[in-house]
Amino acid sequence: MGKIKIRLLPDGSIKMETEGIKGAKCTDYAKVLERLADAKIEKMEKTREYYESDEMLQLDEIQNLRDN
Amino acid sequence: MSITLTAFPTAFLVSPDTAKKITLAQIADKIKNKKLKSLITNYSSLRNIRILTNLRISEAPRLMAAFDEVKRVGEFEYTFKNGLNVEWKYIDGYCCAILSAENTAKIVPKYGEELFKNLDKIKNVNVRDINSEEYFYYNYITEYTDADQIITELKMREAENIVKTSEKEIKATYNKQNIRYYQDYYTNRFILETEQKISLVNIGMDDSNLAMVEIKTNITPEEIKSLLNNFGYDFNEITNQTPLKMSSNIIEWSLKDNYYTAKLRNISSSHLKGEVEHLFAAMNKKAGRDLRITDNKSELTYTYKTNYTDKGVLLNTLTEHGAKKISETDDKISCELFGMQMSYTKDADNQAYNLVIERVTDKSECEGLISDLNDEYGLNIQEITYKKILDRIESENLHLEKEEVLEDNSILLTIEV
Repeated sequence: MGKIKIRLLPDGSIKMETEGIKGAKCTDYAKVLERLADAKIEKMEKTREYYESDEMLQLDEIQNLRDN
Repeated sequence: MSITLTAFPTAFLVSPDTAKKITLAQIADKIKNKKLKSLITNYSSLRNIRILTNLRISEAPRLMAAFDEVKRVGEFEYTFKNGLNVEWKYIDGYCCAILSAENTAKIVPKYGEELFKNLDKIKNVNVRDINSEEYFYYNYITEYTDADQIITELKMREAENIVKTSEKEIKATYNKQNIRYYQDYYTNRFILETEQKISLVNIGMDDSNLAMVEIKTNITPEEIKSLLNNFGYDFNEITNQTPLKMSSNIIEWSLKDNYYTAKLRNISSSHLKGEVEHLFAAMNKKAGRDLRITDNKSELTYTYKTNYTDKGVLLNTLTEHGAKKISETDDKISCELFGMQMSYTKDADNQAYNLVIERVTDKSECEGLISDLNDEYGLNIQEITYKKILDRIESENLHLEKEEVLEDNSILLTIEV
Protein backbone atom coordinates (compact mmCIF):
# COMPACT_ATOMS: atom_id res chain seq x y z
CA MET A 1 0.00 0.00 0.00
CA GLY A 2 1.35 3.41 -0.90
CA LYS A 3 1.67 6.52 1.20
CA ILE A 4 1.76 10.24 0.74
CA LYS A 5 3.68 12.44 3.14
CA ILE A 6 2.52 16.01 3.32
CA ARG A 7 4.76 18.47 5.11
CA LEU A 8 3.25 21.82 6.10
CA LEU A 9 6.02 24.32 6.66
CA PRO A 10 5.77 27.23 9.11
CA ASP A 11 5.98 29.76 6.26
CA GLY A 12 2.74 28.31 4.87
CA SER A 13 4.26 26.39 1.95
CA ILE A 14 3.70 22.66 1.39
CA LYS A 15 5.93 19.80 0.32
CA MET A 16 4.66 16.35 -0.57
CA GLU A 17 6.31 13.01 -1.33
CA THR A 18 4.73 9.80 -2.47
CA GLU A 19 6.04 6.39 -1.41
CA GLY A 20 5.38 3.02 -2.89
CA ILE A 21 3.19 4.36 -5.63
CA LYS A 22 4.53 3.39 -9.02
CA GLY A 23 3.80 4.79 -12.41
CA ALA A 24 1.74 7.74 -13.42
CA LYS A 25 -0.84 7.15 -10.66
CA CYS A 26 1.27 9.14 -8.24
CA THR A 27 0.67 12.36 -10.19
CA ASP A 28 -3.04 11.93 -9.40
CA TYR A 29 -2.09 12.71 -5.83
CA ALA A 30 -0.89 16.12 -6.88
CA LYS A 31 -4.50 16.90 -7.77
CA VAL A 32 -5.60 15.38 -4.47
CA LEU A 33 -3.29 17.77 -2.63
CA GLU A 34 -4.72 20.71 -4.55
CA ARG A 35 -8.18 19.71 -3.38
CA LEU A 36 -7.22 18.91 0.20
CA ALA A 37 -5.26 22.11 0.81
CA ASP A 38 -6.69 24.67 -1.68
CA ALA A 39 -3.18 24.84 -3.06
CA LYS A 40 -1.36 25.35 -6.35
CA ILE A 41 1.47 23.07 -7.40
CA GLU A 42 4.67 25.03 -7.93
CA LYS A 43 6.97 22.25 -9.09
CA MET A 44 7.05 18.47 -9.29
CA GLU A 45 9.96 16.09 -9.68
CA LYS A 46 9.49 12.53 -10.80
CA THR A 47 11.80 9.95 -9.27
CA ARG A 48 12.83 6.55 -10.63
CA GLU A 49 9.87 4.80 -9.07
CA TYR A 50 7.57 6.97 -11.17
CA TYR A 51 8.89 5.31 -14.29
CA GLU A 52 8.35 1.82 -12.95
CA SER A 53 5.06 0.18 -13.84
CA ASP A 54 2.77 -1.96 -11.75
CA GLU A 55 1.51 -3.59 -14.92
CA MET A 56 3.87 -6.55 -15.45
CA LEU A 57 1.00 -8.62 -16.88
CA GLN A 58 1.62 -7.20 -20.31
CA LEU A 59 4.98 -8.92 -20.58
CA ASP A 60 3.57 -12.21 -19.27
CA GLU A 61 0.74 -12.13 -21.77
CA ILE A 62 3.14 -11.59 -24.63
CA GLN A 63 5.28 -14.50 -23.41
CA ASN A 64 2.21 -16.78 -23.22
CA LEU A 65 1.20 -15.88 -26.73
CA ARG A 66 4.66 -16.78 -27.99
CA ASP A 67 4.63 -20.07 -26.10
CA ASN A 68 1.30 -20.97 -27.58
CA MET B 1 9.34 7.65 -3.45
CA SER B 2 7.81 8.43 -6.82
CA ILE B 3 7.29 12.17 -6.95
CA THR B 4 8.19 15.05 -4.78
CA LEU B 5 6.38 18.30 -5.19
CA THR B 6 6.23 21.79 -3.77
CA ALA B 7 2.94 23.66 -3.48
CA PHE B 8 1.54 26.76 -1.80
CA PRO B 9 -1.94 27.67 -0.63
CA THR B 10 -3.84 30.22 -2.69
CA ALA B 11 -3.71 32.59 0.28
CA PHE B 12 -0.33 33.50 -1.22
CA LEU B 13 0.11 35.13 -4.61
CA VAL B 14 3.29 33.13 -5.27
CA SER B 15 5.15 30.53 -3.24
CA PRO B 16 6.77 32.04 -0.13
CA ASP B 17 9.97 30.32 -1.11
CA THR B 18 10.19 31.78 -4.56
CA ALA B 19 8.40 35.07 -3.97
CA LYS B 20 11.46 37.12 -4.67
CA LYS B 21 12.14 36.46 -8.31
CA ILE B 22 11.86 33.95 -11.10
CA THR B 23 15.01 32.46 -12.52
CA LEU B 24 16.17 32.88 -16.09
CA ALA B 25 15.38 29.21 -16.72
CA GLN B 26 11.79 29.64 -15.60
CA ILE B 27 11.42 32.73 -17.74
CA ALA B 28 12.67 30.71 -20.69
CA ASP B 29 9.87 28.22 -20.01
CA LYS B 30 7.36 31.08 -20.00
CA ILE B 31 8.59 32.08 -23.45
CA LYS B 32 7.63 28.71 -24.81
CA ASN B 33 3.92 29.50 -24.84
CA LYS B 34 2.23 28.11 -27.95
CA LYS B 35 1.39 31.33 -29.73
CA LEU B 36 4.76 32.96 -29.31
CA LYS B 37 6.52 29.71 -30.09
CA SER B 38 4.91 29.76 -33.49
CA LEU B 39 6.84 32.95 -34.25
CA ILE B 40 10.09 31.39 -33.14
CA THR B 41 10.80 28.64 -35.60
CA ASN B 42 13.75 27.14 -33.81
CA TYR B 43 14.84 27.57 -30.21
CA SER B 44 18.41 26.88 -31.14
CA SER B 45 18.20 30.19 -32.98
CA LEU B 46 18.26 31.97 -29.61
CA ARG B 47 21.10 34.41 -30.13
CA ASN B 48 21.30 36.13 -26.77
CA ILE B 49 19.34 37.30 -23.76
CA ARG B 50 19.55 40.94 -22.84
CA ILE B 51 18.86 41.86 -19.23
CA LEU B 52 18.32 45.37 -17.91
CA THR B 53 20.21 46.27 -14.75
CA ASN B 54 20.34 49.20 -12.36
CA LEU B 55 24.14 49.24 -12.56
CA ARG B 56 26.44 51.79 -14.18
CA ILE B 57 28.65 50.41 -16.91
CA SER B 58 31.71 51.81 -15.14
CA GLU B 59 31.04 49.28 -12.36
CA ALA B 60 31.30 46.32 -14.73
CA PRO B 61 35.10 45.80 -14.67
CA ARG B 62 35.24 45.86 -10.88
CA LEU B 63 32.27 43.51 -10.56
CA MET B 64 33.55 41.05 -13.16
CA ALA B 65 37.00 41.02 -11.50
CA ALA B 66 35.34 39.37 -8.50
CA PHE B 67 34.66 36.21 -10.51
CA ASP B 68 37.05 33.30 -11.01
CA GLU B 69 37.67 31.73 -14.42
CA VAL B 70 36.58 34.71 -16.46
CA LYS B 71 38.54 36.34 -19.27
CA ARG B 72 38.14 39.92 -20.45
CA VAL B 73 37.80 39.82 -24.25
CA GLY B 74 36.73 43.41 -24.91
CA GLU B 75 36.33 46.73 -23.13
CA PHE B 76 33.13 45.54 -21.43
CA GLU B 77 33.01 41.98 -22.71
CA TYR B 78 33.87 38.85 -20.76
CA THR B 79 33.92 35.10 -21.32
CA PHE B 80 33.55 32.50 -18.57
CA LYS B 81 35.14 29.05 -18.60
CA ASN B 82 31.62 27.54 -18.59
CA GLY B 83 31.02 29.07 -22.02
CA LEU B 84 28.91 32.05 -20.92
CA ASN B 85 29.68 35.30 -22.68
CA VAL B 86 28.69 38.63 -21.08
CA GLU B 87 28.77 41.97 -22.83
CA TRP B 88 27.85 45.11 -20.90
CA LYS B 89 26.28 47.89 -22.95
CA TYR B 90 24.17 50.99 -22.49
CA ILE B 91 20.93 50.60 -24.47
CA ASP B 92 17.99 53.05 -24.20
CA GLY B 93 19.43 54.54 -21.02
CA TYR B 94 19.96 51.27 -19.20
CA CYS B 95 23.12 49.36 -18.49
CA CYS B 96 22.33 45.95 -20.03
CA ALA B 97 24.03 42.59 -19.71
CA ILE B 98 23.89 40.74 -23.02
CA LEU B 99 24.34 37.04 -22.34
CA SER B 100 25.22 34.56 -25.07
CA ALA B 101 27.02 31.25 -25.60
CA GLU B 102 27.71 28.75 -28.30
CA ASN B 103 24.56 26.97 -27.22
CA THR B 104 22.70 29.98 -25.84
CA ALA B 105 19.43 28.24 -25.08
CA LYS B 106 21.15 25.68 -22.88
CA ILE B 107 24.02 27.59 -21.29
CA VAL B 108 22.61 31.03 -20.68
CA PRO B 109 19.58 30.31 -18.45
CA LYS B 110 21.66 28.18 -16.08
CA TYR B 111 24.92 30.12 -15.88
CA GLY B 112 23.26 33.47 -16.41
CA GLU B 113 21.20 32.97 -13.25
CA GLU B 114 24.34 32.03 -11.30
CA LEU B 115 26.02 35.16 -12.56
CA PHE B 116 23.22 37.40 -11.36
CA LYS B 117 22.90 35.69 -7.98
CA ASN B 118 26.57 36.41 -7.44
CA LEU B 119 26.27 40.00 -8.65
CA ASP B 120 23.38 40.51 -6.22
CA LYS B 121 25.56 39.19 -3.39
CA ILE B 122 28.45 41.47 -4.29
CA LYS B 123 26.25 44.56 -4.61
CA ASN B 124 23.91 43.53 -1.79
CA VAL B 125 20.94 44.53 -3.96
CA ASN B 126 18.90 42.96 -6.75
CA VAL B 127 20.81 44.37 -9.73
CA ARG B 128 17.93 43.52 -12.07
CA ASP B 129 15.37 45.49 -10.09
CA ILE B 130 14.04 48.33 -12.25
CA ASN B 131 11.14 49.92 -10.33
CA SER B 132 10.13 46.52 -8.90
CA GLU B 133 10.19 44.83 -12.29
CA GLU B 134 12.80 42.74 -14.04
CA TYR B 135 13.16 43.00 -17.82
CA PHE B 136 14.50 40.26 -20.08
CA TYR B 137 14.80 40.45 -23.88
CA TYR B 138 15.18 37.23 -25.83
CA ASN B 139 16.78 37.64 -29.27
CA TYR B 140 16.21 34.99 -31.96
CA ILE B 141 17.76 34.86 -35.41
CA THR B 142 15.07 34.52 -38.10
CA GLU B 143 15.18 33.79 -41.80
CA TYR B 144 13.57 37.12 -42.73
CA THR B 145 15.54 39.65 -44.74
CA ASP B 146 12.64 41.90 -45.74
CA ALA B 147 10.57 44.09 -43.39
CA ASP B 148 7.39 43.84 -45.47
CA GLN B 149 7.44 40.05 -45.27
CA ILE B 150 7.45 40.34 -41.51
CA ILE B 151 4.55 42.77 -41.51
CA THR B 152 2.50 40.45 -43.71
CA GLU B 153 3.22 37.57 -41.37
CA LEU B 154 2.32 39.61 -38.30
CA LYS B 155 -0.95 40.75 -39.85
CA MET B 156 -1.84 37.14 -40.68
CA ARG B 157 -1.25 36.22 -37.06
CA GLU B 158 -3.40 39.16 -35.89
CA ALA B 159 -0.59 40.92 -34.09
CA GLU B 160 -1.53 44.39 -32.82
CA ASN B 161 0.12 47.82 -32.82
CA ILE B 162 2.33 46.92 -35.79
CA VAL B 163 4.66 49.83 -36.44
CA LYS B 164 7.38 49.94 -39.08
CA THR B 165 9.80 52.43 -37.56
CA SER B 166 12.23 52.02 -40.47
CA GLU B 167 13.21 49.51 -43.16
CA LYS B 168 15.29 47.85 -40.47
CA GLU B 169 12.87 47.73 -37.54
CA ILE B 170 9.28 46.66 -36.85
CA LYS B 171 7.57 46.76 -33.47
CA ALA B 172 4.33 45.04 -32.53
CA THR B 173 2.33 43.43 -29.75
CA TYR B 174 1.71 39.72 -30.15
CA ASN B 175 -0.38 37.76 -27.69
CA LYS B 176 -0.04 40.68 -25.24
CA GLN B 177 3.74 40.55 -25.51
CA ASN B 178 5.93 43.34 -26.87
CA ILE B 179 8.07 42.15 -29.77
CA ARG B 180 10.53 43.82 -32.07
CA TYR B 181 12.18 42.74 -35.31
CA TYR B 182 15.44 44.49 -36.19
CA GLN B 183 17.89 43.84 -38.98
CA ASP B 184 21.33 42.56 -38.12
CA TYR B 185 24.01 44.72 -39.68
CA TYR B 186 26.32 41.86 -40.63
CA THR B 187 23.98 39.13 -41.84
CA ASN B 188 21.02 41.25 -43.08
CA ARG B 189 18.72 38.81 -41.33
CA PHE B 190 16.10 40.10 -38.94
CA ILE B 191 16.37 39.33 -35.25
CA LEU B 192 13.16 38.80 -33.27
CA GLU B 193 13.32 40.31 -29.81
CA THR B 194 10.65 39.39 -27.26
CA GLU B 195 10.23 41.21 -23.97
CA GLN B 196 9.59 39.39 -20.70
CA LYS B 197 8.73 41.48 -17.69
CA ILE B 198 8.68 39.97 -14.22
CA SER B 199 7.12 41.73 -11.27
CA LEU B 200 8.92 41.42 -7.96
CA VAL B 201 6.82 40.54 -4.96
CA ASN B 202 8.03 39.38 -1.63
CA ILE B 203 6.44 38.91 1.71
CA GLY B 204 9.84 38.92 3.25
CA MET B 205 11.54 41.95 4.63
CA ASP B 206 14.39 42.66 2.30
CA ASP B 207 15.33 45.23 -0.23
CA SER B 208 13.29 44.24 -3.23
CA ASN B 209 9.75 44.68 -1.81
CA LEU B 210 10.21 48.21 -0.43
CA ALA B 211 8.23 50.06 -3.05
CA MET B 212 8.45 53.60 -1.66
CA VAL B 213 9.71 55.69 1.26
CA GLU B 214 8.40 59.15 2.06
CA ILE B 215 10.35 61.45 4.34
CA LYS B 216 8.58 64.55 5.63
CA THR B 217 10.96 67.46 6.02
CA ASN B 218 10.95 71.08 7.14
CA ILE B 219 12.85 72.18 4.01
CA THR B 220 11.31 75.27 2.42
CA PRO B 221 11.25 76.24 -1.28
CA GLU B 222 13.67 79.11 -0.58
CA GLU B 223 16.44 76.83 0.62
CA ILE B 224 16.06 73.47 -1.11
CA LYS B 225 18.13 74.22 -4.19
CA SER B 226 21.08 75.71 -2.36
CA LEU B 227 21.06 72.94 0.26
CA LEU B 228 21.29 70.25 -2.42
CA ASN B 229 23.70 72.15 -4.68
CA ASN B 230 26.10 72.53 -1.76
CA PHE B 231 26.75 68.82 -1.89
CA GLY B 232 26.80 68.42 -5.65
CA TYR B 233 23.16 67.35 -6.00
CA ASP B 234 20.83 68.90 -8.49
CA PHE B 235 17.30 70.17 -7.79
CA ASN B 236 15.38 70.23 -11.06
CA GLU B 237 12.79 72.98 -10.67
CA ILE B 238 10.66 71.64 -13.49
CA THR B 239 10.44 68.02 -12.42
CA ASN B 240 11.12 68.61 -8.69
CA GLN B 241 13.58 65.73 -8.76
CA THR B 242 17.09 65.09 -7.53
CA PRO B 243 19.02 62.21 -9.13
CA LEU B 244 21.12 60.17 -6.73
CA LYS B 245 24.75 59.51 -7.58
CA MET B 246 25.27 55.97 -6.33
CA SER B 247 22.24 54.42 -8.01
CA SER B 248 19.71 55.12 -10.70
CA ASN B 249 17.15 56.21 -8.10
CA ILE B 250 15.87 59.75 -7.80
CA ILE B 251 14.40 61.77 -4.97
CA GLU B 252 10.98 63.16 -5.89
CA TRP B 253 10.13 66.29 -3.95
CA SER B 254 6.55 67.29 -3.31
CA LEU B 255 5.53 70.53 -1.63
CA LYS B 256 2.77 70.72 0.95
CA ASP B 257 2.09 73.58 3.38
CA ASN B 258 5.36 75.19 2.29
CA TYR B 259 7.49 72.18 3.26
CA TYR B 260 8.94 69.46 1.07
CA THR B 261 8.40 65.72 1.38
CA ALA B 262 11.07 63.50 -0.20
CA LYS B 263 9.82 60.39 -1.97
CA LEU B 264 12.08 57.51 -2.95
CA ARG B 265 10.71 54.65 -5.00
CA ASN B 266 12.08 51.12 -5.04
CA ILE B 267 15.19 52.07 -3.20
CA SER B 268 17.03 49.31 -1.45
CA SER B 269 17.67 49.60 2.25
CA SER B 270 21.40 49.70 1.69
CA HIS B 271 21.06 52.73 -0.55
CA LEU B 272 18.73 54.40 1.91
CA LYS B 273 21.16 53.88 4.73
CA GLY B 274 24.04 54.93 2.56
CA GLU B 275 23.67 57.78 0.19
CA VAL B 276 20.40 59.35 1.30
CA GLU B 277 21.28 59.33 4.98
CA HIS B 278 24.68 60.82 4.24
CA LEU B 279 23.03 63.51 2.18
CA PHE B 280 20.54 64.38 4.89
CA ALA B 281 23.23 64.32 7.56
CA ALA B 282 25.32 66.77 5.51
CA MET B 283 22.35 69.03 4.81
CA ASN B 284 21.34 68.98 8.49
CA LYS B 285 24.80 70.22 9.41
CA LYS B 286 24.68 72.96 6.81
CA ALA B 287 21.19 74.05 7.84
CA GLY B 288 21.98 73.88 11.54
CA ARG B 289 18.88 71.74 12.33
CA ASP B 290 17.40 68.30 11.70
CA LEU B 291 15.59 68.72 8.40
CA ARG B 292 13.49 65.62 9.02
CA ILE B 293 11.75 66.91 12.10
CA THR B 294 8.22 68.17 11.53
CA ASP B 295 5.86 69.00 14.44
CA ASN B 296 8.64 67.93 16.81
CA LYS B 297 8.86 64.43 15.37
CA SER B 298 10.44 62.59 12.48
CA GLU B 299 8.05 60.74 10.21
CA LEU B 300 8.46 58.32 7.38
CA THR B 301 5.95 56.49 5.19
CA TYR B 302 6.83 53.14 3.64
CA THR B 303 5.00 51.34 0.86
CA TYR B 304 5.54 47.61 0.42
CA LYS B 305 4.30 44.93 -1.92
CA THR B 306 3.17 41.80 -0.08
CA ASN B 307 2.42 38.22 -1.02
CA TYR B 308 -0.89 38.14 0.87
CA THR B 309 -4.11 37.45 -1.02
CA ASP B 310 -6.46 36.25 1.73
CA LYS B 311 -8.35 39.02 3.52
CA GLY B 312 -9.62 36.80 6.32
CA VAL B 313 -6.19 35.46 7.22
CA LEU B 314 -4.70 38.93 7.05
CA LEU B 315 -7.37 40.34 9.40
CA ASN B 316 -6.80 37.46 11.77
CA THR B 317 -3.06 38.00 11.71
CA LEU B 318 -3.41 41.71 12.45
CA THR B 319 -5.87 41.08 15.29
CA GLU B 320 -3.64 38.46 16.90
CA HIS B 321 -0.73 40.85 16.69
CA GLY B 322 -2.62 43.47 18.69
CA ALA B 323 -3.72 45.81 15.91
CA LYS B 324 -6.16 48.52 17.03
CA LYS B 325 -8.82 50.57 15.26
CA ILE B 326 -9.18 47.94 12.54
CA SER B 327 -11.48 49.00 9.75
CA GLU B 328 -12.19 47.23 6.49
CA THR B 329 -13.94 47.89 3.22
CA ASP B 330 -14.07 45.69 0.14
CA ASP B 331 -10.41 45.68 -0.70
CA LYS B 332 -8.87 47.77 2.06
CA ILE B 333 -7.87 47.07 5.64
CA SER B 334 -6.63 49.85 7.92
CA CYS B 335 -5.34 49.60 11.44
CA GLU B 336 -2.90 50.99 13.97
CA LEU B 337 -0.02 48.95 15.26
CA PHE B 338 2.64 50.18 17.65
CA GLY B 339 1.75 53.79 16.87
CA MET B 340 2.05 53.27 13.11
CA GLN B 341 -0.85 53.69 10.71
CA MET B 342 -1.13 50.72 8.31
CA SER B 343 -3.29 50.32 5.22
CA TYR B 344 -3.53 47.21 3.09
CA THR B 345 -5.13 47.70 -0.32
CA LYS B 346 -5.43 45.69 -3.50
CA ASP B 347 -4.94 47.41 -6.85
CA ALA B 348 -7.43 46.66 -9.59
CA ASP B 349 -4.95 44.44 -11.42
CA ASN B 350 -3.11 43.12 -8.40
CA GLN B 351 -4.21 40.04 -6.61
CA ALA B 352 -2.06 40.64 -3.54
CA TYR B 353 -2.16 43.47 -1.03
CA ASN B 354 0.06 46.53 -0.99
CA LEU B 355 0.94 47.86 2.44
CA VAL B 356 1.40 51.53 3.29
CA ILE B 357 2.81 52.32 6.74
CA GLU B 358 2.66 55.92 7.91
CA ARG B 359 4.11 57.67 10.96
CA VAL B 360 7.20 55.49 11.04
CA THR B 361 9.67 56.99 13.46
CA ASP B 362 12.02 54.07 13.69
CA LYS B 363 12.75 52.10 10.53
CA SER B 364 14.19 49.10 12.30
CA GLU B 365 11.05 48.84 14.45
CA CYS B 366 8.98 48.96 11.28
CA GLU B 367 11.14 46.27 9.71
CA GLY B 368 10.74 44.10 12.78
CA LEU B 369 6.97 44.52 12.69
CA ILE B 370 6.74 43.58 9.00
CA SER B 371 8.90 40.55 9.57
CA ASP B 372 6.77 39.42 12.55
CA LEU B 373 3.57 39.85 10.54
CA ASN B 374 5.05 37.81 7.71
CA ASP B 375 5.92 35.01 10.10
CA GLU B 376 2.47 35.03 11.67
CA TYR B 377 0.66 35.07 8.34
CA GLY B 378 2.67 31.99 7.34
CA LEU B 379 1.90 30.23 10.65
CA ASN B 380 -1.81 31.02 10.31
CA ILE B 381 -1.78 29.55 6.81
CA GLN B 382 -0.04 26.46 8.13
CA GLU B 383 -2.74 25.98 10.79
CA ILE B 384 -5.60 26.58 8.38
CA THR B 385 -4.13 24.20 5.81
CA TYR B 386 -3.67 21.52 8.50
CA LYS B 387 -7.33 21.79 9.52
CA LYS B 388 -8.52 21.73 5.92
CA ILE B 389 -6.58 18.56 5.17
CA LEU B 390 -7.91 16.77 8.27
CA ASP B 391 -11.47 17.84 7.45
CA ARG B 392 -11.29 16.66 3.85
CA ILE B 393 -9.18 13.55 4.07
CA GLU B 394 -12.08 11.12 4.37
CA SER B 395 -13.89 12.53 1.40
CA GLU B 396 -10.81 11.59 -0.68
CA ASN B 397 -10.94 8.00 0.67
CA LEU B 398 -7.64 8.48 2.48
CA HIS B 399 -6.58 7.51 5.97
CA LEU B 400 -4.28 9.49 8.26
CA GLU B 401 -1.64 7.12 9.57
CA LYS B 402 0.23 9.58 11.77
CA GLU B 403 1.11 13.20 12.32
CA GLU B 404 4.33 14.63 13.70
CA VAL B 405 5.73 18.05 14.49
CA LEU B 406 9.27 18.31 13.23
CA GLU B 407 12.18 20.29 14.66
CA ASP B 408 11.63 23.18 12.30
CA ASN B 409 7.95 23.38 13.39
CA SER B 410 6.74 21.75 10.18
CA ILE B 411 3.76 19.43 10.53
CA LEU B 412 4.28 16.08 8.79
CA LEU B 413 1.16 14.12 7.87
CA THR B 414 1.63 10.51 6.72
CA ILE B 415 -1.42 9.34 4.80
CA GLU B 416 -2.23 5.85 3.53
CA VAL B 417 -3.63 5.66 0.05
